[in-house]
Amino acid sequence: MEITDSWPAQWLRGPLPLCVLRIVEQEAAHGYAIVTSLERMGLGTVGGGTLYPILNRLQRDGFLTAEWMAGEGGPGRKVYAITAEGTAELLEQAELWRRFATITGQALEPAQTKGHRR
Amino acid sequence: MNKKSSLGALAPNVDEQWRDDFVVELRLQGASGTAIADALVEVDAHCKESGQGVPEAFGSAVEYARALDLPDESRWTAPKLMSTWVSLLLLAMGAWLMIDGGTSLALGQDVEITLGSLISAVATLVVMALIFVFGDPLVRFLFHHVVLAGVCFMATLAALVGIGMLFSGTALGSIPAFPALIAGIAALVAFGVFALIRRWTGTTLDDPLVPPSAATPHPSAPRDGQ
Repeated sequence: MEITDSWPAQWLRGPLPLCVLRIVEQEAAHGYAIVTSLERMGLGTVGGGTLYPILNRLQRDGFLTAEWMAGEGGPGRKVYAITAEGTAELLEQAELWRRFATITGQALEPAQTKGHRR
Repeated sequence: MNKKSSLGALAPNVDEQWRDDFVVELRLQGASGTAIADALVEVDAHCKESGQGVPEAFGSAVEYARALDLPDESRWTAPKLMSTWVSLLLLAMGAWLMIDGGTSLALGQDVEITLGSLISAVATLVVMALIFVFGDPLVRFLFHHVVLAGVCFMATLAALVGIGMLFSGTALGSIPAFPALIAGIAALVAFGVFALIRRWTGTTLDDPLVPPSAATPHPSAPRDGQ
């Protein structure tokens, strides 16, 4: 997984599809627009080799639709839009992920003092 | 427009070798021409918009093709393979009967069936069967080892000819030249008719890359990363 910049690849593997759904939920977007949105979110640079298989999978699972639109003086763009199933999936999984992130954050907190753990 | 130039027109911003590796790998996975063209144009659009080279943005062509996990819509179904097999048999048999029949007729003799020609024919059928059975790995080998594949092909051809010559002295029988010539012509005509029927009914193995047709610009233009 050729995600560069800040975060270890294995950390991003889980939430990345959800982040993609969140971006597309706000507005239909093509692949490169999603990449730049992920960068703005602080998730680093996601390469095409990582992103498009995720988009394919989300489309196959019925969470996204895709449509080719004429480009402006360049190649056409394949624009992805979220479906009702995708919105429901995002709501459910995002909530689970927030709970997971809270739990792991607490688990990683340093112990306050010695002797608390029995 | 030949295949290479049509691929270049589909993805002008993609490195030629990467593009070819990508298309071949997807073909071997059974992806349809439409799906391959769709994926290739998307790679091209991403490279153009990002300004990145294709290896930088997508990594290895083969690994990316596998990661896409496109559905297997292979046209190489058993009935289509069999019809291709029958076509090739008609062609091979027709050519052999026509050449041998015509030559023997000109010489005023019967077409001689020798042990050598029989063994050659059987060996050819076996090789053709193996090609169908081991199609995928064989195509990968041919694509990545062109020179070695050429050498193997010539060696196989020489072996078949050698087998024929080794046993050419043992006659098994003969058939009259004129009927053999007519049978050969009939087989070749049948091959031609069969090929036309397959084309009209869409049962050939052709599956061209069909680029996606873009709709008119969307009224609420999507965000373009700015």
